[in-house]
Amino acid sequence: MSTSHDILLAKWLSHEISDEESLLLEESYDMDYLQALLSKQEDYTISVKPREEIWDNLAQKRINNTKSVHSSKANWLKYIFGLVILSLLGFLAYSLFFGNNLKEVETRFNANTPIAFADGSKVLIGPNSSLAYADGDWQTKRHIALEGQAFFEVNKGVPFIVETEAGKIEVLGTQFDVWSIDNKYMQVYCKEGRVRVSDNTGKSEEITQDQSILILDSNLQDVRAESKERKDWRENYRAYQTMPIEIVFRDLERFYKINFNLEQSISKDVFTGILPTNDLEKCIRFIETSLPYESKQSEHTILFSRNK
Amino acid sequence: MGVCSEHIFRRVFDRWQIPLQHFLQARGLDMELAADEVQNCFLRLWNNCSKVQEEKAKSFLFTTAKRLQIDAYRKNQVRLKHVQQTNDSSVETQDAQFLLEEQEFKTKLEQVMDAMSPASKEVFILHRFDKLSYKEIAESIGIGVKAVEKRMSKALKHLLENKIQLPR
Repeated sequence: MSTSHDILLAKWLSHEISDEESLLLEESYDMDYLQALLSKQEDYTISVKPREEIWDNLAQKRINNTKSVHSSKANWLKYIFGLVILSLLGFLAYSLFFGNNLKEVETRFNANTPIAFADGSKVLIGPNSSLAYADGDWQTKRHIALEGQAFFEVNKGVPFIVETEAGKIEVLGTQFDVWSIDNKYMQVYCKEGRVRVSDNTGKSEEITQDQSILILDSNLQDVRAESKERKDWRENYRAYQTMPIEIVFRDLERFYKINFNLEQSISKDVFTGILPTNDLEKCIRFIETSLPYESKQSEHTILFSRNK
Repeated sequence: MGVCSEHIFRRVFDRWQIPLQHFLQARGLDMELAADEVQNCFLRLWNNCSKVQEEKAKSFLFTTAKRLQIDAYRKNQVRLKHVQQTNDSSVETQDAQFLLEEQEFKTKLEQVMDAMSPASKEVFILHRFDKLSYKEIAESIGIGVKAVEKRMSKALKHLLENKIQLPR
């Protein structure tokens, strides 16, 4: 059987031609050259955007799209099934806090994880953060424990409560962003709706759309107005406003796999500005141009000190 | 049962995101734009995740990519310029003359690939750079295996008729 002429070369490449056909090709073409060219070409690749970058951006878009997609009950079951499988991989479940079906999700450096709950509420967990909730109780009590950063989109229903070590947020159908560092520091930004924030001393404050509030040294501060164009960690930027530099670096450690050390003399400084959370070199350059600092980098740490 | 579960979705993503980016670059999008459109393809897949079986995902993705590319292409048209050497580890041991030849080869390879007809170029790239078989390409872009072989032969013929200097 002979191969039709116009596919002979393709067949040659996949070793599907007879010896006679092979000879025929060699008469008309320089097949040694083609062979050499193709084997050389194998050393090359076409460069593309890094995988995790696309995946993370996608994760963010997916969470914005989840509502319309998973409206039917059957779809929801599938989604929950997906979560269950994920939980086998990465979730640690134990019943210290909530008694039953405690789920815990932890994120790695520069990885965001979207989660959707059975009532349609959604959360995007930021890097190096952890979140725990009891899904068995979800109908009667929506209660979440958070360490680190997360953006919430809450559907109407029973009270939705987020607790961090520094304080508590009570929600009434809204979108908001939480950023907690330890038992002394937490920041809440309300994008839509209304939330009530309280610190551990019992003081509480209600904030609405485009406002933010801070717990600093265990104390609830005044309500701040935020601009609509606020740079967001979900866009790989982080905005700070008169933030103690110590807190800034503790926060950056969540995004970069490196320790920031400060010389004693600068630890009480404050920083206002925007820093990238996905480009360490750029980030350091920004800090050094906006503050009179110099840095020394070793393998796992960067030491900042005042310019001499 | 569709691709709604996170681990299946991730598996599909890991398998097809690079071939899709190459496919879109072959069709004249630059790297940034190709990455954006790949994101959109997967977003559409996610939005239809209950309707698309895992084994049908690739043809869904490529069909979507084709549709999105046509819109994007009207606005932006660039030449293929992201061909790169896979491993640079040997660089230190090579002399300047060698590096120069490699550099020239890379540029020539880009040029000669760029001059292929678009239909041949995308098949050539998927087969040679993404190692997809003729059958997989046929299923992905929704044409017959014979048509893939024709396009591939045209691509090879183009290479034979436009010889470039090979490095040592």
